[in-house]
Parts: sequence; structure tokens; C-alpha cells
Amino acid sequence: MRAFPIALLLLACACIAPSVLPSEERDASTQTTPRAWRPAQAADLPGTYVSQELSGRLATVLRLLVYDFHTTGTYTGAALLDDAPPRFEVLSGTWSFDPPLLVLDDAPPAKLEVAEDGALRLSGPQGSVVLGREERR
Amino acid sequence: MGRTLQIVGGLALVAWTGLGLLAWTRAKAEWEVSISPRHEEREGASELALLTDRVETLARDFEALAESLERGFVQLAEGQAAAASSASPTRSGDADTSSDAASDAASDAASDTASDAAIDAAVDAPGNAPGNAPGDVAGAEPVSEPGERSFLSFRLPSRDFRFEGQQSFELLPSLSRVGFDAKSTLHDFSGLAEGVRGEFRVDLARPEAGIEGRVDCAAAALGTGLAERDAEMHGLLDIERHDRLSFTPTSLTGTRVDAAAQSLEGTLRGTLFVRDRSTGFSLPVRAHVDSSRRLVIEGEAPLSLAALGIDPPSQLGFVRVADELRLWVHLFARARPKPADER
Repeated sequence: MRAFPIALLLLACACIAPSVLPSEERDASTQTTPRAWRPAQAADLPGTYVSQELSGRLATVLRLLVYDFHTTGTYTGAALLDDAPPRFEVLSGTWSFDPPLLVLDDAPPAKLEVAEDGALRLSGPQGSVVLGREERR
Repeated sequence: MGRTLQIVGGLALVAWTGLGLLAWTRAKAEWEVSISPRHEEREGASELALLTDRVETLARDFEALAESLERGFVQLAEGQAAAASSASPTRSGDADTSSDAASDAASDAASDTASDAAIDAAVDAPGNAPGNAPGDVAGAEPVSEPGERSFLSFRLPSRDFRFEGQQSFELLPSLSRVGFDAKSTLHDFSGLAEGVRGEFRVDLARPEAGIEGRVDCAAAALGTGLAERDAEMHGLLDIERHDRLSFTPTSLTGTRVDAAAQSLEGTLRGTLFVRDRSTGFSLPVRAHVDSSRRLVIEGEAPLSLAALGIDPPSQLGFVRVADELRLWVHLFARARPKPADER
């Protein structure tokens, strides 16, 4: 008999959705779904990209990267450097791809991976950058 | 007959409500519900943690070895590329002066000397997984030469995040949050505000030397997910006249600093400003530098509404919010670069 009202109470409480944010969900940087990366092919590269994530030493000095890779093997890029005050550096050159390595001009090679949504990940000893594909509008 | 049924129905409803309240009161006093994993799962988790720790140790060793190898290969490749070509990519909109021969030479040199194995070792080392970015070697990272060309082809400033020394930090509003967890007689709930702004100045290696700055957010940004509750909360906060909630840190005490791991713990003390009230507030915090070179600050502490001159909200006299909240912060900050003339 004593359990009856308690059971009723539990039933009633079950109808009220909990709204306490779990402590592990306080971090706003982990709210996006992780991408699955695969080795890239040369055909994955042409397009326009804007940086979405920077990590490693790169992240200390870079705010934003924009690249446009052309099918002819040329590219142009802009980097917003986190200086005081911030400033852009712009360059153009040629790219080559020897799977899985992307080489921009005479720079050290970078490992190139691609995600299903067309995003690229370039990784090297100074860090990595995730570049989201930008469609022309 | 109909009248009698109405009366009986009304009495039944009152009795039902009374019974529910009685059961509620008794359950609150006598029952405690906790959720925890089964014993076997805890054991499994413990074994997994040990295994993870061993793998991470091996990964760190492997990463250090791989990075050393890769650096040698890359330097050799750059030397050969420089010898093979005096041309370089055009910069800042100049005409295209980079010849195919130059780029081919650079590419060939890189391909020949920086073998797949070496590069893979450098960029695929387990320590370089998400959350520990490529190139991350905690506490032992050499600073590159000034103007070093990165794999992105840009010549980037050589500085890296430094833990020691007075620095100014700027909060990243797109990632920074403050919130609270509240208890009520009906059910518990959280409030959350995004877009937290602010700046502060501190020496992370010697935080007890002092901290100054300010952190704040729009009072209207604080929400609990229920429009009616939010409206009442915004009324209590008097957001029409006091549109910001802010905190001014004055000291960081009881600190434990791990410079090698670039982390620290301590108690942040300061003044909390809510409405037209201010109150002293102490917040135990943990801070660390993440793989994107951001300072991540987490902490939580109890906060009394009465101390802020706010009566805990109440509905119908029996749905009542507890006076004590758990106030929490999850903040991201970046160190501001120094102007060139101050470096």
C-alpha cells in the first residue's frame, strides 16, 4: 500500500523531461559531429576552401586560411596572420600531388585527406588544418 | 445526480493531488536514486584506461622519434629544392614568376627525400590524433627559424604559445559559455549563456603574482530552454536596466601549476556583478592549453541567490527553486600577439 503513491510519483516524474546539461556537454568546441577522413586523390583537390579548424603550432600564428586549387595545377591562397595588428599574406604558385602528399611549390610536403563533405585535412609537422569546401554562389 | 457526480469527481481530483503531494514529500525525504555503471563495466573501464595509458606512452616515444626523422628529411628536401631552383612562388599579387621547373624540382626533391614512411611517421603518429595535433610535443617544442616556410607554403611567424610570462588573453565568444544548474521541487534544470566576452592578463606560470581583467555576457543571453521560465528569470535579473552579467577577477590563489603539461588549477576570486548588486565570489578553476593553442578554463562553484538579493522563484507555493545554484564556466581564450615593437 505504501509503495503505491511512490510508484505514482515516479510515474509522474517520468513525464517531466530532465533539463540539466551534463557537464561533458558544457564544452562548445565538441558539439560538431566528427568527420571520417580517407586518403585523398588528386581529383579531390580542385575547389575553393576556407579553414575551419587549426591545430598545432599553426594555430598560434594563423587566424584564417583560404585556398583555391585549380585543375591546371596552380593555386592561390591567403592567410590571415594573428599579428598585432592582424595582416593578410597572399601567394600564388603550383601544386603537385604524390599520394598521400601534397606539395605547394617548394614547401615541405603535407599529408592530404578528404572527408565525405569534400573538406580537406592537411597535416604536417607544424600542425594540421581542416579546410571546408566553399561552393561559389 | 449530475451534480453529485461533479462533486465526487472534484473530491477525487483533490484527493489524488493530495495523495501525490504526500507521496512526493515522503519520497523526497526517504529515497535517493543514483545511476552508476555496473561493477563489471567499471572494471572494464579501468583496464581500458590502463591500456590507453600504455598506448599513449608508446605513442609519445614514437612521435618524438618520428619528428626527429622527419625534420631531417624535410631540411634535406628544402636544401635540395633551394639548390635546384632560385625561383619562388609569387607573393601578394605579383606576376607569376614561379616556373614549372622550380616547382617540379621542389616537388621531386621533396618526394625523393621525404619518403612516405617518414612523412607518415610525422603526421600519423598516434600522438597526433585529434585532440593532440600533429607537431604537438608537450613541453619540448623547438621554435622554428624566423619566417620558416610551413607546409602551407606561407612564411609564418616563428612564435609558439608560451606558458611563462605576463600575457593578455582574449575570450573567444563563439566557444565560451557560462551557466548554472538549479534544483527545484519539481525537477532540476540548467541555464546557459553563450557569447561570453572578456579579457584578462596573467602569468600562467606564476598566477599568484596577480590577475586582472573582466568577463561578461548579455543577461538576455541566459536561457533555460523554457520561454516562460526564461521570462521570469529575465524579470528577476531586471535585464531592461541591467543588461550585462559580469565578473572581475582579483586573484588566483592556491594554485598548482604544471608548466610541462601547460595546465594549472587554483581558486579564482573576484567580484560578481548581477543587477545592481555585487558580491564576492570564489571559483575553483582548472585551465589547460588545448591542441589549437587555446587556453581552456573550466570551473564551478555554489552561488546563493539570496546573496544577490534575488528571492528564489516559486510557483503556486510548492514548486520552488532552491536558493543555491551551481554556477559553472567553460571558457576558451587566446593569447594576444604582442605588437612588433614590444617583442
